[in-house]
Amino acid sequence: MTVSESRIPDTPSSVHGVSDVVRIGGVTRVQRTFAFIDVSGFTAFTDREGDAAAVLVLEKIRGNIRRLASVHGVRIAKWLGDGAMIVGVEPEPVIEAVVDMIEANREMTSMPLRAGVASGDVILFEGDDHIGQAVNLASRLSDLAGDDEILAPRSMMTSLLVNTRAVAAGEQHVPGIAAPVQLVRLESAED
Amino acid sequence: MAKGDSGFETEVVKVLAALRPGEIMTYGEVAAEAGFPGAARAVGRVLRVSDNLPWWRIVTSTGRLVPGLEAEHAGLLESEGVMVKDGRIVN
Repeated sequence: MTVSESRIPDTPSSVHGVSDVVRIGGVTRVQRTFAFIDVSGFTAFTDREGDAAAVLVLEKIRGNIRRLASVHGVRIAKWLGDGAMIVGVEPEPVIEAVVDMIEANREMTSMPLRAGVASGDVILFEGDDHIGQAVNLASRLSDLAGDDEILAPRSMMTSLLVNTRAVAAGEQHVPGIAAPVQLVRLESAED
Repeated sequence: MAKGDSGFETEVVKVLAALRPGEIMTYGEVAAEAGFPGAARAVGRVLRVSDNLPWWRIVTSTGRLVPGLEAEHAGLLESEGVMVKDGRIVN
């Protein structure tokens, strides 16, 4: 997953349920939440097990992501090889969908997932593409996340999450982003 | 809200509406029973935005009650004969 580098402030604008569409300087800006989720270690798995085995695993993982995106009311904007870019208007369904995806995947396959989530104003580009800092940040956080881990900026946390908690993950330098970002790790609050 | 064209919310509501007093399910069990295994948090989302559903009959997989509503949750469960201790149902 490569995205253009840009400067992202420590606290990107959060959405918290607002879905305003704003036209500024001739471009349409919308508030969205993005998640990038991908298979951790997929390249090594493919190298070890072969292309056919990798495709079988990927079919299962994609099916899981597709099914849970649908029930949570969020959209798969793009498939990215062993990952996906997920978009939603409100943060909570995106976060909860990703937590469910990782939990369900853990029971279905031996390949861990990892994800990054971020919210903010973005430009709606050519109808169905999104350009903006929140997209870049979500992608970079996915790259930073460990096995079965979801990272997000602390600024986008809400108290409305269902069975999901945010655990402080400290201030980290995110590659391609000038200012350090206060992060949280999102995880199940079932226990 | 859990939405989309999957029929998820309709199926979840059917499962929840069929629960009788004293019957307890976890979010994950409701999702699986509705035909959507793994969608536990989407069940919670349906409960959060819907009225007239027996939300108190649903607990987490560890039996924990709804955070912030423990007293009300426990009261409703105990009125149906379900034992609660330290914020969790007692099996």
